Amino acid sequence: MDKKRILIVDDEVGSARLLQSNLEQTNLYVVLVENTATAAFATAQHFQPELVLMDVMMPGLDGGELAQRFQTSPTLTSVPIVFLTAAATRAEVASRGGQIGGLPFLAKPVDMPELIGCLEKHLGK
Amino acid sequence: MQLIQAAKLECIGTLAAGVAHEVKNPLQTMLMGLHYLAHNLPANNEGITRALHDMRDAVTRANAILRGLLELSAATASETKAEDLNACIERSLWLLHFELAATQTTVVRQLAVDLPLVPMDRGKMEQVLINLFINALHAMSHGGTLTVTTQAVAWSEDLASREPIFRPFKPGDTLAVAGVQDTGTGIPEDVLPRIFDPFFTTKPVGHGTGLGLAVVKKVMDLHGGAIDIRNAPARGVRATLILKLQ
Repeated sequence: MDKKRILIVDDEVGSARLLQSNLEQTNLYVVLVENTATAAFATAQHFQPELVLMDVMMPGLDGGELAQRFQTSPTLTSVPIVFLTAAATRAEVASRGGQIGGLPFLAKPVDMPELIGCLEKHLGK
Repeated sequence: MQLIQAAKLECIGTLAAGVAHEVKNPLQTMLMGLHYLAHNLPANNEGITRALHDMRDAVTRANAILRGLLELSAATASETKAEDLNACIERSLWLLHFELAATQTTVVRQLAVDLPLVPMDRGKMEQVLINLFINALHAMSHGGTLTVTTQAVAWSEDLASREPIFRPFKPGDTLAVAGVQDTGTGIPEDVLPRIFDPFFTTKPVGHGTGLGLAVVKKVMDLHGGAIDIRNAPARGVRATLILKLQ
């Protein structure tokens, strides 16, 4: 089975690296990590991720702006984006139907089963 | 005393909103690290398994405290609409249906079928009810009966003279009264005056943040309502919530 390509964009270096390790040891995903939005956009052009998991609050370009760049890029416009944010609570996620600005989001801290469930739900779209 | 309490809550709320982002990111790192270790350390080592379990519990607890603080800070403004209080109760019970089943709790509903719509912030009122239900479940860990009631009453001087909780209201007020009663162990009388204090809890370490009832009180105040919690005459605790109908 082909592994799915996931791009993680998070300025929390340790958290992103551990998430990458956890995803890769499932043998279901190939994962790249970028810690800035600018680098993430450049990487995405050649990596062609099948899903992007991104933090919302990042220095410089934030997650919302980066998502907009993806959506207006001819080659990345259809890539599903899932926000992973410390700026919302699980209750807020539930009350917004799991969507922020029309895109799915998860509230930190989130554990692996819930995160993988969310990835799998949106990878097929 | 109430002013000191209000200032304390405001201070906690401001701090909580400020630190939430900074604390949740390290919690995420710890959770990812624990998952990684759980899959890469020997699974048959009891000491390692227990240490990982305890650390995971600690992360969950820290997150629960943070969530309680955020709920407290969020309880500053309400968007009130005319809502069905009985439906709000049903939804809150449904959200806890796993916990109710796990504790073998019997739910008795005595909900007024003709209860008028109540002006309230439904999300916040569900939070109030869930917090009260959770406290009841914790008090009945070996099973019991949770009785939930609603009724509409007209304020009267006689009522206010008998029940202090009605005293903040005035002639002409019609009120929605909700009751939540458990058959648990009750609350020691000397503890009752402190139950709404932030961080005050009688639960064992790791089982309560001490913020649930502080949130409940704040939300009720925000609605111009009232709450009373006391030991029931027979056994257990009875919480009474009052909201104005108009």
